[in-house]
Amino acid sequence: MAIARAKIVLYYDVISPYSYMGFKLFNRYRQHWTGVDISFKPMLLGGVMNIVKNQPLADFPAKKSHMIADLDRTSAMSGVPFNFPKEFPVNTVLPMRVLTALQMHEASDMYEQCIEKEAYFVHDRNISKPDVIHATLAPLFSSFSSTADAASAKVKSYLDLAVHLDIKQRFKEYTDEAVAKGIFGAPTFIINKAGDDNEYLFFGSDRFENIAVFLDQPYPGLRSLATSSGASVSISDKNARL
Amino acid sequence: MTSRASIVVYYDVVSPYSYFGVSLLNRYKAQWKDVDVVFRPTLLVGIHNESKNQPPASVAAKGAYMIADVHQMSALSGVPFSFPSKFPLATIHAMRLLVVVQEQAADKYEQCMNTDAYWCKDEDVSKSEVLVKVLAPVLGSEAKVQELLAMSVQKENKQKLIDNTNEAVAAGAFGAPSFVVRKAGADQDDFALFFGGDRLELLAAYLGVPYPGFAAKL
Repeated sequence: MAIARAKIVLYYDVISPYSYMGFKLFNRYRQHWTGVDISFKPMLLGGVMNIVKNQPLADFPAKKSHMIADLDRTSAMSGVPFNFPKEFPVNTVLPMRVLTALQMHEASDMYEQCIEKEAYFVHDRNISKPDVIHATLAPLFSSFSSTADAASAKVKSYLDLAVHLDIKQRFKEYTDEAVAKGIFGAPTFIINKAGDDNEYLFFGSDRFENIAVFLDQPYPGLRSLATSSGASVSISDKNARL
Repeated sequence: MTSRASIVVYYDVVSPYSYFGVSLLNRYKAQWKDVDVVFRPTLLVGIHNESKNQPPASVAAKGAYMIADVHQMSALSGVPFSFPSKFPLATIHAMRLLVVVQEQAADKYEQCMNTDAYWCKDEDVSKSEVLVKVLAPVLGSEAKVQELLAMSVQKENKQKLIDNTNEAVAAGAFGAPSFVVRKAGADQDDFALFFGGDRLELLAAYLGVPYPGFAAKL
């Protein structure tokens, strides 16, 4: 039976700078896309790439240079903060398993706030490390906990849960599911139109205009986002140069 | 130093995203009066080789997505499109011919470049006789196309296509379409490289010109 409302599922990995940018931009556009159900699924980008025999673009020097310049420009235009980390890539199996556990056990708004943390792509923290994950997520939980200790314990419990077999298995299932849907990179949006059983795949943080037109939703544009957040809209030469 | 803003587009007719990038840029540039736009023929396979990159279709899942994506792009933007039965094609003859046309028949060049032969009408543009058939109405006669084709394989002209390709690689290109963009008053080496038919919104912001969006019917 065809679904009643349009639906977007975003597959992401926090290792991917375009996933970070895509997530941030998506969170702003979705406020204009009221007729659409939205959810976020963790996957292991390295696993997907191995299976489909794709290669990370950062393996190619010219592509990597362009990627950083491109993200800096998108950041300048949209006001989404971005700072390419010194250590790249890092292993994101652990943080992605933690996010899988959070997705299963937390309300969606809490889970999404955890995805949105700027630890890696703004603050250059090595999120492969348990203590960094702990330090990043504890403040979020403290606003919902009676004491700082309780928040700390909560995050610790998710770090423990992340290495349990059922979480590992769930994360692997998501990754396999992504491949089965035709995914080869991140971020990828799997989209259903209302009343249409077909799934449509949109790849990249640069497909919001396509998605908006496809779902008959408004596309305010990258620049409008910066204007509404009061950020600078000029793209400096420094950011734009390779 | 250039007094006006400029965009140099490096393209190859084998690339579907070049087709879209050029088609969309042609729509928008009518509103970008203070920007000079130049389309420079390149050999995409040369860019890929030099940058050690691989065409998207070399990964099966990417190839499948690319075909869906370009059809989607056509449906959303209204740029006519039909995936050809033979892909990819060797476009070296076509691209060499476009180098000659750009020099010898400059006023017809963009019309020749924008022919929808490959990306709408499934013409096999790797073949000289097809190039003759397709371009004769634009260039005046079959004899004229033959004449330019003969010029296109002269050593000097072949080298120009290589030079264009190397120029793109030197600017940092690894695929097509690639856009080398200079603001008004910028020095020759002061430019930004934009990659892809989907970067025109960022490119417009860089130059401070309006971005109408591809769903806007201009």
